[in-house]
Amino acid sequence: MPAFSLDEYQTRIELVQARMRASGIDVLWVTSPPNMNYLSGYDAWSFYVHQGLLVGLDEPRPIWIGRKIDIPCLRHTSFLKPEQASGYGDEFLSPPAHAMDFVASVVHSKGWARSVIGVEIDAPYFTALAYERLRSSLPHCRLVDADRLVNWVRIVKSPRELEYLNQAGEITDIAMKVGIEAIAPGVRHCDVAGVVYQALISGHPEFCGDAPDYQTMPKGRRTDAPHLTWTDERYTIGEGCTLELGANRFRYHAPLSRTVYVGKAPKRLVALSEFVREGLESALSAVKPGVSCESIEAAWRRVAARAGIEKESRIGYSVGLGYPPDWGERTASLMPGDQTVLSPDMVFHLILGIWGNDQGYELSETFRVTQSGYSCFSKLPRTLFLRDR
Amino acid sequence: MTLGKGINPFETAEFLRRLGNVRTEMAQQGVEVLLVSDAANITYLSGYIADSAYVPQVLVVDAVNDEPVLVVRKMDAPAGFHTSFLSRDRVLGYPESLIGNSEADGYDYVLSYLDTAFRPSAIVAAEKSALLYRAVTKLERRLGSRLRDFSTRIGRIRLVKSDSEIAVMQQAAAIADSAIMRAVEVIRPGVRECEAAGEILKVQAAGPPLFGGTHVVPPLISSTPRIGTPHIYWSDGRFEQGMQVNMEIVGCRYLYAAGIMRVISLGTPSGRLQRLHEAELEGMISALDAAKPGATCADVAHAFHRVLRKHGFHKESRCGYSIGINFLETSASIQAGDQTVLEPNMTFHLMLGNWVDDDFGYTFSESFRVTQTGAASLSKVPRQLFVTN
Repeated sequence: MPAFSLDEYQTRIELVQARMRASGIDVLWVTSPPNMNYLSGYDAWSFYVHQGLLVGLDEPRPIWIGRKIDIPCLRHTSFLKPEQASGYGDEFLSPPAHAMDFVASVVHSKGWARSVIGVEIDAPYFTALAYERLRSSLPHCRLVDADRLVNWVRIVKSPRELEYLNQAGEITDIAMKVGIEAIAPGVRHCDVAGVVYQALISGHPEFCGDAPDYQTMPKGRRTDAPHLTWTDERYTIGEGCTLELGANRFRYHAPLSRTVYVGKAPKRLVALSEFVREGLESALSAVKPGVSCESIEAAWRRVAARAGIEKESRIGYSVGLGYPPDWGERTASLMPGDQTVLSPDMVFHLILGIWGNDQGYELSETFRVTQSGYSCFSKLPRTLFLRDR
Repeated sequence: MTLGKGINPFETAEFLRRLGNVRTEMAQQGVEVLLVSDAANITYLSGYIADSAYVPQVLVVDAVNDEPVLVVRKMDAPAGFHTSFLSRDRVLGYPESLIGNSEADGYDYVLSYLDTAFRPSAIVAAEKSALLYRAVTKLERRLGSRLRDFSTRIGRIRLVKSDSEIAVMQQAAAIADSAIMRAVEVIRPGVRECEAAGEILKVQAAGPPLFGGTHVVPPLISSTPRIGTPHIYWSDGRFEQGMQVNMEIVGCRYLYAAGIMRVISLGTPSGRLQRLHEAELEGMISALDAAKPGATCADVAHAFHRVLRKHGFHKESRCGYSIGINFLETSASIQAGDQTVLEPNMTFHLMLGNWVDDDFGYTFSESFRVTQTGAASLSKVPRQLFVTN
C-alpha cells in the first residue's frame, strides 16, 4: 500500500515536470532513494544496487528501473504497476555488464535516444562510474545536472506528510525517554542502544517505526565526536552522553537530541546547557513565514556570542523523507548565507551540537513552520538530564 | 581535542600489512598517491569508523609514508584519531565553511593538501566507483592527465581476510544467530510485527552476553502476502496463524557483518513451501561441499543450481556475494560467470533466498568462510524451516 493517495503523487509529479520544463529537461533520471519514494512510493532497502525512475515530460507516470527481484517490493509499496517497471537480471550486478547499459536500453525503447536527460549528479549512490557509463551508452542524449530538482519540491510538506512526521516525533520522544532511563552507572553502552532501537520500532502502542538509520549516542570523551555509535563499555559516574535519535514513519524522520550526565553534573556543563537552551529558544522564536534561514542562525549566534560559545557548523537543515546515509533533505540549511525564505509547513531539524571541550553537549528540536511561528514535534523538556542511579 | 584512542580490534601491524598490499598494487599501476573514498576501504586501511560518509572524506595513501593521512570534516577529526591507528597529525579536519557550499567542498581541501605534500607531477589515483561525478570532475580539472582510476582494486585485496578479521566476523555471525533465534521465540500469531522487529534489533545492538553489536542493519522481515519481496520491512499489522515469515538478519561487529536467512511458518507449512525448503537445504549442502580453495564462485553457484533443478525449482537471483566491512563487498558474486577462485579465509554470504513469484518466496542463507580444505559455516543455527504451532 502506498503511503499517500494517488492524487498526492500526481501533484508531486506535475510539480517536478513543471521544473523540468523550466530547465529544458525532457527526461529526468531520479536515483536518489528519497526522491524515488517521493514520486512513486517505492520503499525498499535495495539502494545498494543501481535503481531509479525515468520521469518523462508527457508521461503521467514514471518508469521504475531496478533489479528484477525487487519488482514485488514495488508492487507492495508503490502506486506504480509492475507493467510500469523494467527489471534487470543479476548479470547486470557484475562487470563487464553495468546497470546503466540497461537503463540506456529503456531510454532507447521509449524513443528518448535524442533527448535532454537530467541526472542527479551529486546525489549519493549515483557514482561517477555510473554517470560515465550512462553518458557513453546514450551518445545522442545530452546529460544535464538536475541535482536537487526534486529535493526542492519536497521542502513544503502536505497535511499527510505532517501527520507522518507527527507520528515519527511521538516515537522519537518515546525512544529518547527509554534511552535516558536506561542509562545508569554499570549499564553497558550497547544495552542502552538495544532498548533504544527496540523503542524506535515498537515503542509506540498504536503504530510502528520504520527501519531506523544509524542512531548516534556517544558517551564520555567520545561525545567530542558527533558521529560515533556505541561500544561494549559500561557507563560510569562522571561522564556525559549525547543521544541523537530519529524515528521514522514511512521514512519521514523527526530527529531529536538530548544530553545526559551520569552523576552530579559539573557546573560548567550546567551553565553550557542553560546557554544552549536559551540559544535554541531564541532561534525558535525567530521562526515565522517570510524570514530567511540565515536569520534563524543569527538569533542563535547572538546568544552564543554572549556565552562565548563558538560553533562553526550549521545549526539545522530541512528534514523529512530520508534514507541512509542522511535524513537531511539536502536543500535549505540554517546557516549564514542561506537566503531560503521560510514558508508554512516547511520542517527543520534545529540542532545545537557543541563539541571540542572533552564533554560535548547536544540539544535539538524538529519544528514545523506554522502560519505565525513554529511548532515542535517533541514534548520533552530541554534540560540536561541527570542519571545517578 | 583530548579524546584518546578507542578500542580497535586490529593491531597497527595489521593495518600496515594491508597498506603494504595496496602500495604493491599502486606501484604496479604507477600510482604515487591514492585517494581512498570508499567508506569501507577507509575503514579497512585505517580503522576509522564513524557515520560521516555523507560528506567528503578521503584517506590519502602514498608510496613513502607508512601512515596515510585521513581527511574528514573538522567535527569528525576527534573520531578519526579515536577510532583509527593514525597519529594525531595524520588526521586533518577541513573547515565547516566547505559544508553546504556549492563553490567548494572537502575535495578542494584535499587538492590543496596534495599541492603541499607531493611533487607537482605525482601520479594520483581515485576511486571512481565510490565518487560522485562532481568530485571526479573537480579532480580531473586540477590533476588532468595525472589522474588514474583505482575503482575495485582495494576490493580485490579485501577478499581474503586475516585471522583477526575472521575472529571479528565470527562474533558478527554470533550476533546474527542470537537475533534470529530471538525471532523464532517472539514471532507468534497475535504479536505486532514491529514488536518482533524491536526485539530482534535489540539483540542486534546489545549482542549475545559477551559482546555487543556495534552497528545495526535493520532486519528484513516480510510476512504473507508480502513474501515475494526481498527488501521490504515489517508492517503495522500483527502476525496471524497460517502466515509465512521470511527473514534476513545481519550481525555487525566493528562494521564487519555476517548475514543469515530463515523462514518461520506460523502453522503447518504448505506442501510447496516444504518441497522448496528440502530442495534448498540439499542445495546449500551441495554448494558448501563445492566451496573449497581452487574452486570458483561459479562452481559453487552451479552446485546449488544443479540440485535445485533436480527438485524442479529454479532461482533467478545470484547465490551470494563476498562479505566483510559494511556487509556486501562488490568484488565477487556466487553466480554463473564469476571466475573468482576461492582461497582460504575468503568469506561469503551464501544467499539462497528465492523469490519465486509475486506472492511466494523463500529465504535461506548462511555466511561461511573458505578453509584450507573446504568451507566452514559461521553460523550454528539449525538449518530448518521453523514451524510454530
